[in-house]
Amino acid sequence: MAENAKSMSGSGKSFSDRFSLDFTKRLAQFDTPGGIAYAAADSSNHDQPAYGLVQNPFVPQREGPLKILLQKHLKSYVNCLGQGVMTVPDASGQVRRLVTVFERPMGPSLASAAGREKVSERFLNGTFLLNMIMALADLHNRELVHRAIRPSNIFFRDENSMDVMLGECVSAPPAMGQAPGYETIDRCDCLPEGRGEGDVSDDFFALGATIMSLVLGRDVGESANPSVLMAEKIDRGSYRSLAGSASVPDFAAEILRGLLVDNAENRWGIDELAQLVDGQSPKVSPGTDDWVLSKPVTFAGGNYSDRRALAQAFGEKFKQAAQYLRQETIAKWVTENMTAEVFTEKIESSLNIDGRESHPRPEAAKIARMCAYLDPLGPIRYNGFVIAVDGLGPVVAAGYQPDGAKYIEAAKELLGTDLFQEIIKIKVEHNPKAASELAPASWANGQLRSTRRGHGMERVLYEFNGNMPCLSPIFKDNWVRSTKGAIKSIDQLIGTGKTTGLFDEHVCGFCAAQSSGLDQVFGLLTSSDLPTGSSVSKVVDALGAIQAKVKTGPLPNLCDKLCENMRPAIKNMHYKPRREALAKVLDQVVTTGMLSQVSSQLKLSAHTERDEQEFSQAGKIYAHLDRERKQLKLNIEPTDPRAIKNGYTVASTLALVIMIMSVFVAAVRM
Amino acid sequence: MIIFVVIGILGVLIFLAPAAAIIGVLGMAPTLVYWLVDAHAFRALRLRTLFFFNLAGVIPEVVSNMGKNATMVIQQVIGDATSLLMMMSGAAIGLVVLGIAPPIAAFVMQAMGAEKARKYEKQQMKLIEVWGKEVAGNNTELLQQTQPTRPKDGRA
Repeated sequence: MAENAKSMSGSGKSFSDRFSLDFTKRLAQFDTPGGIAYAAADSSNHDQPAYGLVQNPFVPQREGPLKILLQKHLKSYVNCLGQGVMTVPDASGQVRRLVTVFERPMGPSLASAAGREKVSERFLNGTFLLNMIMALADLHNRELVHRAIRPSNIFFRDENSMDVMLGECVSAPPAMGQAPGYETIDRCDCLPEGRGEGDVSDDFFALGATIMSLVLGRDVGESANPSVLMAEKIDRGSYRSLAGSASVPDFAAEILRGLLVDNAENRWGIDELAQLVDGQSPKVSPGTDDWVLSKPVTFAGGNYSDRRALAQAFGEKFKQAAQYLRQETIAKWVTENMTAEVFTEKIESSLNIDGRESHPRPEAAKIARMCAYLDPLGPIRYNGFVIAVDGLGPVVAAGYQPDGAKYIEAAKELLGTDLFQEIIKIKVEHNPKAASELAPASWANGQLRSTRRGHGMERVLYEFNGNMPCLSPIFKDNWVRSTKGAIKSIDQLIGTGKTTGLFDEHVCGFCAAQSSGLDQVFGLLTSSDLPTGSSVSKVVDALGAIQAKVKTGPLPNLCDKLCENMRPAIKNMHYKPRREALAKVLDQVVTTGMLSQVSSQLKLSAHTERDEQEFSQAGKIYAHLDRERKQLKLNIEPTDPRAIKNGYTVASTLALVIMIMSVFVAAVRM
Repeated sequence: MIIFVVIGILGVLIFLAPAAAIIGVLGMAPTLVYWLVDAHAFRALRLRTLFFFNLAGVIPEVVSNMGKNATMVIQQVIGDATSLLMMMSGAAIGLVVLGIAPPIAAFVMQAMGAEKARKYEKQQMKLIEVWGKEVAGNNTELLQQTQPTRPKDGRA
């Protein structure tokens, strides 16, 4: 959570006592999938034009880049000026939303400028390229990938300037706003939310596609069908596919061939662009194509000579693919069609095409593994969903949008079973980078198999998307982005009379993801309501610890309600003096609003445990006394052996005494 | 064991003071008979009691005849019913005590038990007062007898 000096909450239409938004002035050119833009003002610098982006709560910001870009000022980049929560108008009234304020370029975007006239050689090889090199070098040096390079996200600094600025890249998941053409073969048919973080080579590919759009005067990224675009890219190469029948001007041909190389290792980067600006001619090497099948495969009426294209076809028509692969054994099929591949028993076992399948969608699972084998660098293709290996987090977030249930279902079927891990293990053979996804997938698998509160898909959502606000319906008009905020908001809600549904799956998952050590707390909750009965004292102990840890300050309403719920527990204690003493302490601490004090001074859990133990002891003592008392009250007859024995014992003692006296008297007489 | 000790002592006395030994044997006859015929569950206690009482009656006679001629002593003791009666009276008292000891003991025990039961009852009531009536569990007899006043929630 990027809660730093620049990200502070505001109460009205401004925040940090610095930024204000003019909601009458929409700036649609700065809209992103993550939010909508309005004119903004920076009271600390009136000369700085700014715009504010009101964040969509269902679209996660990019946590890593945001942390850095809120602190650092980059060249030729639309920098973040600040971030905070403020009240914004909404269709239903006023809501609290996260607003990120950025520097506002006063010139048009390249998309609108290019629509008016084509880009000149002088501009492209001069200012544009220099500005892009500066912006990308600054980003890449900080190990950040932009993933939103497109003509509509590059702006002229002002109306009369030729300087351009790269638009922001933090308000939406990587490449979510990109048209498919700006993505490489490996990611272009993915769901927009699931295109993944990618790497620097993806930025250079997008830069190439942007230049292609600028020089041709049309948006080459737009495609009615991403699958067709991908097939074309595989068939003809990205350069030819994007150019189509248009003739690329000579001054741009070299740079475009270098940037649009489909093999990421051979694609141009900063060094080659710098050489080009210096007047040198870097080498363009397309690289070898390792994905050609040994002979074309006919499947579902199409002929496929490339493994990636076949994987795409299998993924789209997975039921037919399952039927197709059933016709012969997988080992035979691979040997016949992919002679370059050594098909070991280990691979055959991990693919598990011919064996039994425990997954709820066996055909989809089998084909997902087969697609991973055919296209290890490509996306996961499961049940019609195409998601980059590193792009699952934002897809889970999309699942919580009003019409997103299908994404949740797909994510559950992937992560909640072993399928995702099986796919990664298959991909790792050719794609070592994918191995980094294994540990999170294994963790998520455990979460989804657990039925405890604070676990499950909501927990996965907030762990995978660290910048998401809590999406609980109880916070629908609020923007809660920390455990502290969640607990304080709950306290306010209790103050308004709401007492049910306060600890739903979202609140539990969110808080557990934000603050360590809360698993145990939410494990104590049996429903979304405030706890009652025996668990309340343990929950108060745990919430008290959190209150102290996250420094929420007094929580009068939550404290009052929980103390109220503790009273029956005190009333139910057996030992009267303890009951009276604890009730007195409770009356004193409830006014503080500090659960930590309630916990430390009351020690209800310990007292309850002690009371039960002592009550058990007291019960045993009572039963013993009762037995003895009943025994003592029984009538004792002279024939009772105890009476006889005691009588004879006393008589024998008496006799001994008399005998000794007799001896004594006799001795005196002598 | 006491019997054997006594037999031993008498054996020694036969040589040192034969008259006293003879009187002792005659006087302790009731205990000897009792030893042979009693089969009570508390035989040892009864025998010990009778033995001590019997001995208490015999010792003065033995002491007063120490050092006298044995024949004369036998004639005197047999001829004097008072002496015999004195010796046997100890055993008789012993038998009486054995007869009345169990009823007396039963009476005393009953009285002491009642006192102790009242003390236990007070302890139980104290437990109920601080722990509530639940502490009694299934042992509700006392609660039914005493019916202590309780607040509405059923707690003390």
